[in-house]
Amino acid sequence: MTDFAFPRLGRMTPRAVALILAAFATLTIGGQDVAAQAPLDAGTVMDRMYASPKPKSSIITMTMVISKNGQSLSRTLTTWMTGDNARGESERTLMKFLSPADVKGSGFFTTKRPDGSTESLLWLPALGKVRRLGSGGSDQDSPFFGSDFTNRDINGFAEADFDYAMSGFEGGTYVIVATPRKGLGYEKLVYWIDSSSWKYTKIEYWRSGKLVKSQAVAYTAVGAYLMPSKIVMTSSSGSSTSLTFTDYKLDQVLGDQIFTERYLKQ
Amino acid sequence: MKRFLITLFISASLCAPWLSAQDFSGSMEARLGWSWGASDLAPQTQVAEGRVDGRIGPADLPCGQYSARVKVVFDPATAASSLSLGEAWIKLFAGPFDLSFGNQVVAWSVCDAFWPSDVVNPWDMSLPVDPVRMPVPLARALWTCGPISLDLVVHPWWFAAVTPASRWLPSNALADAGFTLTFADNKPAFDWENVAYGGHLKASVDLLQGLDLGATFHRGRLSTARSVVAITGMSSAAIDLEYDPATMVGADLVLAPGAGFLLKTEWAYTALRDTSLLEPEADAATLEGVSGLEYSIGSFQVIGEYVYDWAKGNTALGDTERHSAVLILSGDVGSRLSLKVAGIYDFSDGGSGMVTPQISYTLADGLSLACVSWFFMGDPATRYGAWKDNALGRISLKYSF
Repeated sequence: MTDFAFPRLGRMTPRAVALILAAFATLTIGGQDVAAQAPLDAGTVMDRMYASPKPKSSIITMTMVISKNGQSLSRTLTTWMTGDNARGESERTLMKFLSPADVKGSGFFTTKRPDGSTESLLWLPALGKVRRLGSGGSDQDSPFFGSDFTNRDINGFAEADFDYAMSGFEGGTYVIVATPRKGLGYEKLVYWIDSSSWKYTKIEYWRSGKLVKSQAVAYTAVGAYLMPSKIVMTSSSGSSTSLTFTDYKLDQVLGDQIFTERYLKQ
Repeated sequence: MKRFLITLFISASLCAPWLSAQDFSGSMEARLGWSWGASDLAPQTQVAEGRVDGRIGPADLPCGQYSARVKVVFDPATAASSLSLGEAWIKLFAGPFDLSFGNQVVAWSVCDAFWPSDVVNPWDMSLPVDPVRMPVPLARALWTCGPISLDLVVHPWWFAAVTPASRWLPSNALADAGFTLTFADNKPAFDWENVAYGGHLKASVDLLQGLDLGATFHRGRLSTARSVVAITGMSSAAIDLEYDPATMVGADLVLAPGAGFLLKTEWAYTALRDTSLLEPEADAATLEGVSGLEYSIGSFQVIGEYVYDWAKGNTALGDTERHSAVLILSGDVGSRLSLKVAGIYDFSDGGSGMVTPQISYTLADGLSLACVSWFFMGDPATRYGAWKDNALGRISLKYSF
């Protein structure tokens, strides 16, 4: 009917956008108020870390800043999230970009079902169109949004994918070496886990005997939860990416009308 | 109408402080272009756009929203500038209905390179390889009930598409033969019979990673002209430009089966001049379809689409068919660089095609540099080969705020 042209997604490729959401799934691990005690075995520590409760719902603003050679790019977005696969519920996340101006107003909505399948929609206001996305490709080791995180880092790891060994316990912090049971893109991860909150404060990522990057996390108390306030991933190449979380609204009643294509477009 | 809408935009901007969550933004874009064979870079149109968006009512639970855009275009070649209104609408949320009025774009199509279902808005085809939807005044009601939605539109005024520049058009055989031509452009006037209307029904099904089924109906007049030629003398001819009534029915499907794949298909059947849908008259029906597969590999995306065009012919010439294939590769390299290469190949006329490489680089937040080119191949008598000498490129610097 017409000649050839291409809708422009800008720099927000569906793959990259889709995987930003999983950050919230892995970063909203709540803390348990367990007092520091005698050293435990590595498996128990990891059990406690993974067993931390999550808020039932959240509204959070996130700013991502990618820095390299003294220059940086930033994006800000608001996310609405509800549900928990661990409770047999579908996890639904809706996000809207606030900046930069060229992607402002774009939105993304994903539903992650307990069986692991994911349904994703992308709202592109410049085209006036909602695009359905295919997901699940074998791109876990690709950079996430051009950042220092890979998609796998953002998605998080499953506890059962690693063997754990205690490396040390000092000043109330456990140092645990996690060795993948299958190919996960790294030779090993080293966790620093605070025994008072059961939160990890640092992760080192090792490949071929070399430290390739490290992640540091700062937390803030929000109601009954300890939520990440800032995550910085620093690569050995010199670049770094920070994720800053603000404007937490947790355990609010988020009606079904929010997690719809209609709300995505508003 | 344009003056009224621009006044409306200015009024809305002035009233914005009384509305909640108003937001001003815009962009400025400077372009340089070249034609293949030319040795210099010629300034192209410079574009500045301003927009205001906002919500009506409480920010947490708005009862409506509005948006308006104005665009200023300056053409260095002619030193002419123009002010035009882009999308400018107000939307009210009423229970399960979203009611919107004003200058709008309606995009029902689900495919990437061709859009058979997008028949509401006329197209600006001044650069036919990069067409742009033109917003038109319309009333729209979107009803949503769970996974089902029905989008109804009524657009009372008819607007013509912007035709391609002359270098993109085939030569006129009659003019070449020395005929004196007279033209009559029979643009439809406002009339109740010319009020266009249509709708798109969509149902989302919880199957695999999601399935969307859609059906489209639209009744209106074509925004592009059909030429009716009458020989009026030994060396004179009269050409009437007619904008035919058109009734379109269509269907579309999008399925995400998983593993990174996405299947899409979209078909539109159009009956012209009030001919029968089932038994159309000669030259009075078309069928357009696109079927495609999309896959993501790392941070790159591959889209392949098959495009089919059919037109009902007359007894002497028979029907015409076209088969084309589209391939689009796109992706990001790092956080600043985006690459895209797209190609289309038309198998129907002995083979002709077009290749479009595109690269964009983000210099800073909101500031980007882009370069795009169009190359054509094939015999001069073919669809894309006819544009072989029209290869061109464009560099643009855009600042969004």
